[in-house]
Amino acid sequence: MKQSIIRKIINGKATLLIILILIVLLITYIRMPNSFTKGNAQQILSNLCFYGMFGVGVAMLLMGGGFDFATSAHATISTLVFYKILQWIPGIPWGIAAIISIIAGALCGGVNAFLSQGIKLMPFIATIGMSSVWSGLAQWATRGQFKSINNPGFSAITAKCIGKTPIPWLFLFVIAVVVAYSVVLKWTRFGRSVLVCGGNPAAARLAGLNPDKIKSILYINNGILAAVGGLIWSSQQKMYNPTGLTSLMPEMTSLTAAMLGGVSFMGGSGTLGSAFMGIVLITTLSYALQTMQLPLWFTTLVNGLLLVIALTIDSFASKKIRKNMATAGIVMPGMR
Amino acid sequence: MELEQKAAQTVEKKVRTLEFKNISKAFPGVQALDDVSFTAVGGKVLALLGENGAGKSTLLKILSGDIPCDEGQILLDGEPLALTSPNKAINLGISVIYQERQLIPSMSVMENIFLGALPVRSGFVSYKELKAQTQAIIDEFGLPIDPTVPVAALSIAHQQMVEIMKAYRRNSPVIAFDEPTAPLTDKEIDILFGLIKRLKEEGKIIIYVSHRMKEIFQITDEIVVLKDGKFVTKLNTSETNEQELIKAMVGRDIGDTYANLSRNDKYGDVVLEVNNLTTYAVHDVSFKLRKGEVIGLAGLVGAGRTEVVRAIFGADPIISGEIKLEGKPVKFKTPRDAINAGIALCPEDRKEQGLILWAPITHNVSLPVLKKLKKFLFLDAKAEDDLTLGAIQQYSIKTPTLDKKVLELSGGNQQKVILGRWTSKLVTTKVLILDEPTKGIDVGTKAEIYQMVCDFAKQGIGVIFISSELTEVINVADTIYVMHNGRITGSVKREEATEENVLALAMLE
Amino acid sequence: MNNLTRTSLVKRLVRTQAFSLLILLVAMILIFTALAALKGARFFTAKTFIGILQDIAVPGFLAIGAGCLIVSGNIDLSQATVGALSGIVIAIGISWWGLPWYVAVLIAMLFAAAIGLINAILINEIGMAPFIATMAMAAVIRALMQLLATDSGGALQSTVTFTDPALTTIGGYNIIGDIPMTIVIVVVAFIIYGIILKKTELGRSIYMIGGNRRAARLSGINSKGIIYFLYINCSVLGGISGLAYTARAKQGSLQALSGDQFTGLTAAILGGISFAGGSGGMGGAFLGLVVLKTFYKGMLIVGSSTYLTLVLSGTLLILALSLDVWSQRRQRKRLGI
Repeated sequence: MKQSIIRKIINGKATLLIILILIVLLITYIRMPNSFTKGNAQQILSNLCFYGMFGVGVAMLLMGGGFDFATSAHATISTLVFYKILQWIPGIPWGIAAIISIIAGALCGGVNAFLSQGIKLMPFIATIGMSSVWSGLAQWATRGQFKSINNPGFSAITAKCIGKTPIPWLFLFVIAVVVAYSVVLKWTRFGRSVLVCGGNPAAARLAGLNPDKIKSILYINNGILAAVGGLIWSSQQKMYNPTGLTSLMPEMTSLTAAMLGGVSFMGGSGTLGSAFMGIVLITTLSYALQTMQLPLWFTTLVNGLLLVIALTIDSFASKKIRKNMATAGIVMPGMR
Repeated sequence: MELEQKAAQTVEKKVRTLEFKNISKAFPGVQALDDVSFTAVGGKVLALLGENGAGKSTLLKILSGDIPCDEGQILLDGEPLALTSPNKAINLGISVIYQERQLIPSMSVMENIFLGALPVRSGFVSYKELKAQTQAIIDEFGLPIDPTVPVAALSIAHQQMVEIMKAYRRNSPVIAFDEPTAPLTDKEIDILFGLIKRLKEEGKIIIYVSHRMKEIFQITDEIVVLKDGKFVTKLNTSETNEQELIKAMVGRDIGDTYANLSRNDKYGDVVLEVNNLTTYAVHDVSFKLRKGEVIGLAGLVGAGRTEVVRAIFGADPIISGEIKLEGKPVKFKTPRDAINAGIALCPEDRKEQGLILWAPITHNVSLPVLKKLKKFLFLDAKAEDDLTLGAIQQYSIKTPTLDKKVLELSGGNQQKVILGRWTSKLVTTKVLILDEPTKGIDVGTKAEIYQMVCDFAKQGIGVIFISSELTEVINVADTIYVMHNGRITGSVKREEATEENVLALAMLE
Repeated sequence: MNNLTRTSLVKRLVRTQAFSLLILLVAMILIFTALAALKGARFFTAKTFIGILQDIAVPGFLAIGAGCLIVSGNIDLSQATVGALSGIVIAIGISWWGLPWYVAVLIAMLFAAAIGLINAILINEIGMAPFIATMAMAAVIRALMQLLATDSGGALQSTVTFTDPALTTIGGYNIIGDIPMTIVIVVVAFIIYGIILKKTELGRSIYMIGGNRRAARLSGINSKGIIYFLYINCSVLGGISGLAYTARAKQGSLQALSGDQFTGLTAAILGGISFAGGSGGMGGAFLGLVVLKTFYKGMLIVGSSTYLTLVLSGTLLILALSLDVWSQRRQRKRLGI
């Protein structure tokens, strides 16, 4: 029984990704044996905390058949709200500001939910448009300036490690989030209906589910997790940066990671565990490239190509499924 | 036996009723339902009968909450139902088994059956319970299906049974079946009919839509006939016969329509020869078509008729086999090659595959002959207008202007636009393939289309005519090829063809 | 029956979205003139309109390419990045590799065409969704740009200047005062593409593919081939707009056209080219672009911050989309679907 649960959590895709991660580590070790330091390990784990939060939201949304290009803009707006509240109300506990900024993230996600599910705009273009709106506002608010956030308590949440290990406490929190969402996805009615709505929204509707509602929840959830991700980032950077997140584009990294982990771009399949493994792979890889001091173009190219490769694998896989379905007479809706 | 049933019914609480009251629904260009009223009662199976386009599917869609009706209401036990969404309908006790299976292929059988109602223990899905409950249902049906395998791994017949289990699981007082037996084999049909009998004894209201007369007499108690969206009559199955039903469905003796056709009786040389054609969906198909001949492809939905003509037309890849056009072997890589060689296809779903709905009539007619409309570098608008006018006059298409959007025409006129496309003076059609040309078209226009088919034959065109309506195929085509599971199972000449012998080949009973 | 005709030209013109855009444009000019007067600035001046024309010249090519592609129901999000790449290639071709300007331009166009070809392959052959495929390609192009702009010392140059009298003269050539010649070329290009779309077999085929790709294919239209053409065309037009930018700015820049990332797209949708495919035209796209740039100009004159331009462009994109969806829904409602 235990065996099978383990097998379920770490399916074939995840195992493959773990092997790839080990290969990346091995190559790094061969090229730069001195790079295996505590500092580097802590840095990778911190990056993982940041990307992990985005990854969960994006992967959930993808499984439900949606995508939000404005994710990093949501995060930026949330950090702006956080910064502004700390500035306006001196002495306010950072926790309260954080909660308000997370609510702001949820509202941002809600706007996209309304545009794509409410008035049925094409989600891609609409979220691109909103991304432009939010990042414009974020830059306008401080006239494009960086603003430092001096709050020891807030900075400590990402900096504190467990004892003498290089593992930040926050990392445990992120793992807990991944596990919690995995449980929701696998063991609750809502989680199951996410996959149903992503896989075949028409069938889901006729079975009495409400795909619009479920997708809206996922958009809002994506906004919330983006806000948390944004907070983690500004805690690490100790500042509000109006353009930093939107140029990092964590949603694209998350997209690539989720697809490498077997989440289909067409929705309806995948697990969070392997999506997270995808994040680990990409984070490790890009940090390795960074420590090897390879030129910027190389890193950009690797990121771009990884996405192209993930998309290609996904296209072939869903083509195959579609063909099988067509011969079996099941009508699959044309999506996107 | 009868006494026992009666006794059982009186013991139970009062008989449930489902009343359809003045239901109307309009789609552009067609009144799909027009003031339809009738009542179905518990403990009886009510057949909904009518030709394609009579309004049966629309009625089921309204019942399932998929689409709203324009007027009227549906009452369960005298209470009006607010069927605003499928979810509402299910909660109000209505289950519909759709012709197009609504399954999630990558998910397990058990999750599909309990879609939207997974058993939950303190907030978490209990897979153990799910499996047990599913197994119980599967056992009741007596089928060898593993509840944990993905639906995609099942045969089509078993997928259909999963769809039925999905509805059965809800234990709804109203269950509607839309052509449930189409993909089933005899074994599953027996299981299904056993199930329907049991549901009937439980006092449930059962609505059964089917084209198969045999089944209707075998399983139903009452029959409601619809025609062109209107209620025609309600009959007791035991007091009627096939002839009476057909007459009610068609509204007149169909014999006349077909007898009055002015047919072609002079065939020319073989124009199209298909030898051992095999694709991913059809196997070893062979036939010959002569000039001036109309051949029919009959068979149940999914038998591979459409796939055969798509392969001939170059729309689907061919695995093996040979196609000869006027004696010369041909290989079409794309539909364009086939069109250039003189083959024309009016595809089965005219809105999805035939027409550019939002474009004007002119653009739809000139589509395959744009090259021939060129004057220097540009398209000759005058020539295009002439072409369109020709089609409009030839087929008396009803439209106020030449550039009316095709979307705004009625189904019959839309079909005529497609015919106009393939028979204009600029195309040389040697073989004309008509895939379900009469689907969703009113009876009057249907008769017109039959005559057009004969006229094409008179012009020396070889016609392949595909239809799901058996009477139509066996009365219009000169030779009928019957398909089953991707193979041709036999051919019959029109003179010898009866619904029975064609259906026997189609179902291989 | 014999006197059946087409709908009259006037009726057809009035029904197009371009006509409502024209009204919108006039209204906008009036409003901005009034607003500017209130703020003590002036909107209705020759300078403003010349400025608008200058703003249109470069993204005009983007709108043409994007418009043709959207008519067929496709989209390319890498177009503006291709423009930046082509600018970089031209600049370093001239100043680092010492090529004659026309060779550098030719190489840049070949790059653009190759990228269009790859986009089309990803979408046609592998079956990726156009949005995400071109988005991913944009990342790859950016990498290529960074690679090319890394100088011999290994430093990444964000701008590369060049001197080439011939190219800069052409790019900077003005007709009548400050009106750049490029705008004339853009307008001519709009007209040529407009004629191609409405009057030729190719154009008709593009509309038919946008209306119903399967039906077009079954009626003998070579839809795959045409989609190849459209992606390459879109990419090359992106390259041309990069050329126009570079020739005028006398430098290639990694950030070139980044403000016009979605300008072509927004202009086309605003101009009535529907995402459902098969409708709208070049006239509308041009007007859409004029409306867009007039709006930005007006906002700047009445004193809005440059950061808000980003907000406005996003808002306009969503507005254009909503308008498209709304007008489709209204038509459907009228027809009772």
